[in-house]
Amino acid sequence: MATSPGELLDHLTDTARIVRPAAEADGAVRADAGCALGQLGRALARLRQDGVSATLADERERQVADLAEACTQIAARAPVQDGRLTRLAATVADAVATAGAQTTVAGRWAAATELSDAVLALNELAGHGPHRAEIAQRCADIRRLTLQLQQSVALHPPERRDYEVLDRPIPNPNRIGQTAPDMVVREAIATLLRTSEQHTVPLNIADVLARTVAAETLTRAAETLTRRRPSTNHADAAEAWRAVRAALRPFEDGSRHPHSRPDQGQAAARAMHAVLHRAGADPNSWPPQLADAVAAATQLVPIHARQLERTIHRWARSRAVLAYACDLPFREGRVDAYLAGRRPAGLVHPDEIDLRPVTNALRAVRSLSAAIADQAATARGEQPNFPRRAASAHRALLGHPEAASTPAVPDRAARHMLRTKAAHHAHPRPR
Amino acid sequence: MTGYIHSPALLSTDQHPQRPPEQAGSTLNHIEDQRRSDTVTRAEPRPPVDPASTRRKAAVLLSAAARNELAGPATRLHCLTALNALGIATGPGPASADRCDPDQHIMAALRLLGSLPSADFAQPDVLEAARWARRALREQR
Repeated sequence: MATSPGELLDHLTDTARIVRPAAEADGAVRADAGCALGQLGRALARLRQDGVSATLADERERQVADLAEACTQIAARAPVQDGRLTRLAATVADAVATAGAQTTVAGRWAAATELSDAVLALNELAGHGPHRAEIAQRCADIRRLTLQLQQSVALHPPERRDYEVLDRPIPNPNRIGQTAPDMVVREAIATLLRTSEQHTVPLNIADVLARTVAAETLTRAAETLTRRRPSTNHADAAEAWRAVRAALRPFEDGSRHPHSRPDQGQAAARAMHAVLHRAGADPNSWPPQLADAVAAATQLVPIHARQLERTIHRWARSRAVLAYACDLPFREGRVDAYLAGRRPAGLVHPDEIDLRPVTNALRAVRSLSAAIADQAATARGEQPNFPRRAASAHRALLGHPEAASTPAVPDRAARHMLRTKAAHHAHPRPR
Repeated sequence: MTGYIHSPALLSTDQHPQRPPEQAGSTLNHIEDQRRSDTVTRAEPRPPVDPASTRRKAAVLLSAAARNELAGPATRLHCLTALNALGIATGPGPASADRCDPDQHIMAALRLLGSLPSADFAQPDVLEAARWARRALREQR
């Protein structure tokens, strides 16, 4: 099952508390905790390298660097152990390292906050029982540095939405081909999130279209799931995803053709669509695991919408797509291209202004998806492995005074965009 | 008590990193990273604080967040646990505090705890309260 750095961290901290009674008598547990501290030091060093503060040479960066160094030093003196704590901490460190491209400064600070809790728990474990004076001194140093960092965390507390980066699942695309539909949904959304960020070149139009189809199917399933609740406010997020595809119609990059070997993201999108399509429209007939998986995956859809919005901005900067000027809103500087109609002379590179309908649609879809995700969290948020941090971030977004009306406004905007685009393409273009 | 909750000093976000609320999430990471200023921060001397008074103010804010109607069950529970860790009886608070965002109360309480001298912050009860308050900020609301 796809897991996330936050889930692994929670598991690591819980495990440290569970094995603590055995630590005093068992040196292997203490050694395991010492090695695990080294792995967390690696994660902290990576966060420090990417930056945890908006200001260079900030006190917080120094504190994170000092703590990372202290954790690494104590691990170098611990007997080599490959215990459960070390393996968990190593996975956390790897996840933090691979998520580097997807994180922001605030997200990295939130991650450092969570790591400091785990460091404190492991340090208590490592320092439990008889020790050489040197090890005891290093444990005391780590505790002092961790408390300094936690005081900075109290002075600069991360906001609710900053923690959402810890809920991004770690994908295993090889598992998408398995038969259990709930596992397919979980792995597919994890793969979609990861592949949307890792491309050195931006996604092409076919990739984005495939992702919008998967997101539409998923949000429709979530809407169906939450509709069983009588007081549900139907914000039609699925229709808003269709509006995104409608807004993409004028643009072309040569990728709209059948692909014999689709990339991982497209394969994941197809697998998710197929599984949810097969499951049927009646959620009462779904296995409970599938309903849980749909509710959990829906929490990640607003994040995916934001990733796609970034992709559109990259298109504008990299001039990766083309469009006929006659299919875009008229602009003074493009009279010749506009009059050329759908001939080669009519092709232009769309800029940010031309692509604004797409980014606006994605922004609307993000708010609507957050509303559906919130309803899904209310309906099925008690399950284990639920992305609570992401759900909390959505609730904060919807509860923000400026976003209080977002579920209704983008809904109207999306419907209007669908109607406008349909009318736009119904009329003949100049040739 | 009303003065505590509505005091601009308590709810001030001056100490928080300057980041536009919506833009930060919607811009590219490298653009956000470019905002990192080239200036080097210098540790400014903190004004002396009265630990007992600061802890009491933080407890009042946590109490207000714990009974805020906008806060979810998990947030309320964590705030109550943090309040319990501080061990300060705050008494009833003003109803007007319910109209504020509970997150702002929790963050203000955290900043107050963070402003304590290091020796006071390292006390187990303060550490525990700060840990639960942070947890209230990240759990489902």
